[in-house]
Amino acid sequence: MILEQHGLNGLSRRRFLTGVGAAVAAGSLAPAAFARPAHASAHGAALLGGPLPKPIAATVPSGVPVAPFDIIHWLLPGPEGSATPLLGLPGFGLDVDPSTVTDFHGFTAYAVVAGGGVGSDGNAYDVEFDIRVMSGEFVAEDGGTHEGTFGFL
Amino acid sequence: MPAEQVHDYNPGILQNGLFWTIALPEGSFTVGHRGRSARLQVTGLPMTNTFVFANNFSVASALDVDVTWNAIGPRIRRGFGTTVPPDDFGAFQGRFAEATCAGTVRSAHTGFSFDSGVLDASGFFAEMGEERNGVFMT
Repeated sequence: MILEQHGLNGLSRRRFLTGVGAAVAAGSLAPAAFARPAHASAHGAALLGGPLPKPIAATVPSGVPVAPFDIIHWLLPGPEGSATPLLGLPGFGLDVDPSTVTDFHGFTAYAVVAGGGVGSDGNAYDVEFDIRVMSGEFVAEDGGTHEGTFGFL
Repeated sequence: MPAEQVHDYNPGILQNGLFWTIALPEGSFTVGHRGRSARLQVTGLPMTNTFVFANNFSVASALDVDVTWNAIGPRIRRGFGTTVPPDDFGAFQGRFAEATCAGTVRSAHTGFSFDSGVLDASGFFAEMGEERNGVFMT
């Protein structure tokens, strides 16, 4: 979930990602700073706890302002020619897998919701929230088939 | 006053590449009306606030979510199954209905909290349905 302070010309996520992509292409320090930072990985593993699902094989295509492309196992279903309200990320089309988990069979709900809200600092924020739930059976890293409900949040 | 203020709440990226995906508590996600409505209700979900995307600096945060989907169209076959390479966007088989989606979120970490108004998907897209990918494709 992304919050941007309302009314400020801040660095949007889209712009930031574009910048990261450019840095990666130039072979700067950005990949080490970006790719699966150790703290994030450890945190994520702790959150999952149970059998570990696997990511979809597909990654973000080049040209989309989310980079580095080859490690982001995430797709953005949405009508071609459309864009998310706050970040301006383009819809990849409708025959696009909304799941972030592979070897999965179940029910998936997906949305990009947007709107506003207020922080405890008294400021108004714009919000964009890509939210997905995948609930069903999956083949985990351990090779076993399990039941689970996962959120992309 | 900083030039910009951004908060980015996410559960992190796992070593195997699983991106921002977290196990949800049992009972937090319910599906009704033969798959034409769904609701996610969860409180205190542990997250990190990385402030900007892919920042190495983060703080522990918690997220409350109450979001409801309602199908507004017929279920349509989606995806190309095994007729495309496994890393293709369409490497899945699904039957999805376009949907509305609306709800609220609350986030908090030490020194800051945020309460949304009603957020909705009218500005982009929402869908819901059944799918299979990977080894479950037929």
